[in-house]
Amino acid sequence: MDIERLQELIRVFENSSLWEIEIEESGRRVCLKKGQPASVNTSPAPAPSAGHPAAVQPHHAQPASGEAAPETAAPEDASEGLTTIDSPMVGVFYASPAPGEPPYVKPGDTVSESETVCIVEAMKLMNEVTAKFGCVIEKVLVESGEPVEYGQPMFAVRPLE
Amino acid sequence: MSEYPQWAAGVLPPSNTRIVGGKVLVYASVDSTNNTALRVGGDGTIVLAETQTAGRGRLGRAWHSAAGRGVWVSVAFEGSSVGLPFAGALAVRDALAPLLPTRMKWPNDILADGRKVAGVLVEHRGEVSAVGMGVNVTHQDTDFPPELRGSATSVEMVTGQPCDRGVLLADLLEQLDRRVTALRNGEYAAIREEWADACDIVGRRVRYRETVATVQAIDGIGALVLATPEGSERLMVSESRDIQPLREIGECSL
Repeated sequence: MDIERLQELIRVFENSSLWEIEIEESGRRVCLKKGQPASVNTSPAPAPSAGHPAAVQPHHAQPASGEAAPETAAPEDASEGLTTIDSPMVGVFYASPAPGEPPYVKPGDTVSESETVCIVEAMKLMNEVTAKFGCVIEKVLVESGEPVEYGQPMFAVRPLE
Repeated sequence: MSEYPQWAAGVLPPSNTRIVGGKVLVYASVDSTNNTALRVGGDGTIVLAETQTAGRGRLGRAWHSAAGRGVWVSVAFEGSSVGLPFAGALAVRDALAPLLPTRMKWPNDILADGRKVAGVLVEHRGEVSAVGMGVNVTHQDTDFPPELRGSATSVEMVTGQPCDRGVLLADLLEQLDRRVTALRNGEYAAIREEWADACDIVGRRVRYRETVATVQAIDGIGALVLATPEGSERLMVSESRDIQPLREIGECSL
């Protein structure tokens, strides 16, 4: 991909509602993400090997910009039996509904499916993030008020049996 | 005791909308129109109240909703919340345009005479989003609590003319319907661009934390890209625990 095409791609991407785009062409892969300001990574595409398809990152389904998609759970960490509740969008993590109020959840709490666990805000879109399944909060991975990226784990949780 | 908002009877349900107004709920008083809209759901459901007992802005901050003085309305939308904050802010700006000059303050407050005259808050819960719009209309200065005097204003305070809340409500709902229809027709980029232009902040210098930064751009999702002495920073909310409010430098304030 020549520099002009790359610049055009960046321009189109910036004006799109996409969070991330990955293009593989002639053995080169270009990945644009809005998780960081204008981050651009290019790298040789891994060669497919016998018995394995071309390496595919375990991406979650990409929502459009600002999309308040239901949170997703990362693959289970087999060593600890834990999984995570991830941010559905780029934004700022808030543990409680308002400053000075108790957090929605804290370590040790058992939450049920659809229970609110935090808010992620971007541009005054306050997105209540809910648990997709019943679980026990093991650890809060982000400080309240910190920015979070799309797909960033916010809670380590242990699913209920 | 608040009165039922009879003034809205003539304009509800709206007659020139495609999405907004499938269901209309009108109350003398509710905790928050957004809460009600999120709870009731339904694509295009309008929730109007004469007053809110727990109207709010970001992070649970109270939004003062004086009975009989404003337009406090939320509209529920099902499906994607993409672009709704921009749609809401542009709708309020455009509905107010025939009445008074306003300026949009990133990300979506509307100022007149340098004071807040309207605000937009979008909340998403489950499969429903609520676009909450609050416009101060007939307030006089003493209608605001003391802590807001000097920072809040109303349409009538600025214009000195009586304002028909029913007409304004109808315009708000039509403008929101137009913007949401456009979003659903794939016009996100154009709406984001129009909103970004309205914010009129790119190139301006602002105070960020304890330094002075220059706003380089508004990115694809509406966040500010700031050039600071330490490098590039991305700002998605106007303040948070670790990000102090940006203070005025020259003509620009956040």
